[in-house]
Amino acid sequence: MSKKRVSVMCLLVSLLFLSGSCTSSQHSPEDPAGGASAFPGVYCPDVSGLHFYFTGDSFLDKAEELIRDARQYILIDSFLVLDDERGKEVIDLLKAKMEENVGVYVITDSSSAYVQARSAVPYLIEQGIPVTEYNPIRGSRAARLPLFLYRDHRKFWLIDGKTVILGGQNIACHSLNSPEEFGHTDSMVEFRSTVAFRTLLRCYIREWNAYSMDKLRQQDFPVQTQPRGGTPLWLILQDCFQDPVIGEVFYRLMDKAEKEVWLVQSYTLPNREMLTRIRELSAKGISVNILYSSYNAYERFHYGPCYRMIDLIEAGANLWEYENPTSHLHYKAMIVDESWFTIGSANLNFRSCYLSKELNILFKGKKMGGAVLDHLETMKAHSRRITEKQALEYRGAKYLLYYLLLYLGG
Amino acid sequence: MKMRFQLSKMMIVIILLFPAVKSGALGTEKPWWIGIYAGTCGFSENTGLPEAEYLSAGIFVEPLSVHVFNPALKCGVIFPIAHCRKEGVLFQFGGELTLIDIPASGLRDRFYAAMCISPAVGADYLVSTDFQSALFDVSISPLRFRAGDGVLTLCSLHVFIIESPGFEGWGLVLFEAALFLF
Repeated sequence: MSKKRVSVMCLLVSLLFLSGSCTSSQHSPEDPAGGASAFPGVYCPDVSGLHFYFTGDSFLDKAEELIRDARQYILIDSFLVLDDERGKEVIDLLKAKMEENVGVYVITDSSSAYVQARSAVPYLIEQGIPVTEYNPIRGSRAARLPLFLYRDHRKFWLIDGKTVILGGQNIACHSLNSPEEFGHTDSMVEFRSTVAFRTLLRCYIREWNAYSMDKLRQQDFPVQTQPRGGTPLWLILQDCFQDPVIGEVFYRLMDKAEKEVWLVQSYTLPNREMLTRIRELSAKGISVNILYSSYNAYERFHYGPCYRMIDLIEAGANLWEYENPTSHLHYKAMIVDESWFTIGSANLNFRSCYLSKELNILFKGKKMGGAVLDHLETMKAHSRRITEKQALEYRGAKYLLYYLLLYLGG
Repeated sequence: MKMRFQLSKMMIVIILLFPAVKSGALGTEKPWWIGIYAGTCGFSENTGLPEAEYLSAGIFVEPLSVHVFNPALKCGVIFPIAHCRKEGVLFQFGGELTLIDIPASGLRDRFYAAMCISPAVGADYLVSTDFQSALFDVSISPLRFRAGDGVLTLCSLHVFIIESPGFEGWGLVLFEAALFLF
């Protein structure tokens, strides 16, 4: 009896080992001039057509154009896809495209069902558009409760094997309306890169296949080869628990600062390490600036970050409030010495660093980042300094409560 | 006779697990490997198990992502809840073979997810906590529904097999939810 038991156990263990596979690293093997490994991301040396959109309406116009021009497929991963006017506008366009035999697939985070507007998942299904939810929050999955904290916060579009769009804009009115119509001030970046496209396509299919029984195959989504010699950037892809790269990227960028750092980060909830870095930079005479939003549609997004403002000021940071009476600053970026830039979905907080899938790009060069610098100047011109006195007023119980909620909940 | 019976049980387990050996050669990226399962079950009197309602819980490993003959291994514990008795607690070691994934598009509107009907057969060793006795069963699960990240089983029939007369009672898993974690 015991011999048989041992042999069965040996068999099971052997099968487990035999069935093992290795996961590929996201770190690029290329290392031109020792620079590619400077950041924990995928180095893309073949980027062209970099273009930025800073308002919902400008991105919506572009998105509509890209949808209309699509010939093969459109893959969308959007944290929120909501059943509101703008959400439906995009979905109806996608449906029309599907009727022209263009493949359309949508991944959305299950959080879409837990915000004030309705999730668009039922509407997408009604329209016949293939959709799948990331990490569904359902009673039948209650045993996975701790993992419900882990969310897909990325927003990216992959079109026809060539165009990548990523950033902070969801498919919903709050993202796609113009700032005058209470749409966010936010960013989306459009570019072409074979390396970036292939990397994101692999991630997309992997995530889709994890949650849907309509399995996708990589070979059904051809990727066009872009000519090499474009401008380089890093794709900062935080795709799983085991590889939290976002915090590391923020720290490494701060280490490169010689004059000034601008953090356009409305949801900044600094940890001890971040405060230490800011203190060190300030001691060296490097100016650290954090830009917040004065307008917030939801209280928690205002009160939560406010609670830690005094800590940041005491660490030596200069805090600013972007004063727009109708538009929330949802834009997430870090700009170092007007030459290093990272833009995307990642906030400067615990959730983005450890609990969410995030996607940013990182690049160097005033020329590439010219539009970002121009936009930063515009925001700076419409911002006012947050004083120590003001920050001290945010040290109440209400602010602490929202800070704690935002810390894990986002 | 006894030896032949032992061999046949081993053969059932090996046949169920055999496809797992191929997984390394497939080379496809597999999003999920390991999960947890929990279910509620009951057994007929002639299995010799104490009369009770049972819960089962444990971990499972599904090394492949294939739509036909997809194997899984599991180990866990079965324990009585109503009329809780120590002698009713059993370790469960088993394998399950999903025969085929049949797309069930009618379920999409209700569950907001693409799902499949995934009938399976399986085999389990149920071993007492003192390792002095063991039961062997084979199972069939026709009402089994697979979403991308989990499997829900309804009314899975387990038949307990002994050397002679060859059948010793039956069990029914009323509901089992298996959720992938990693």
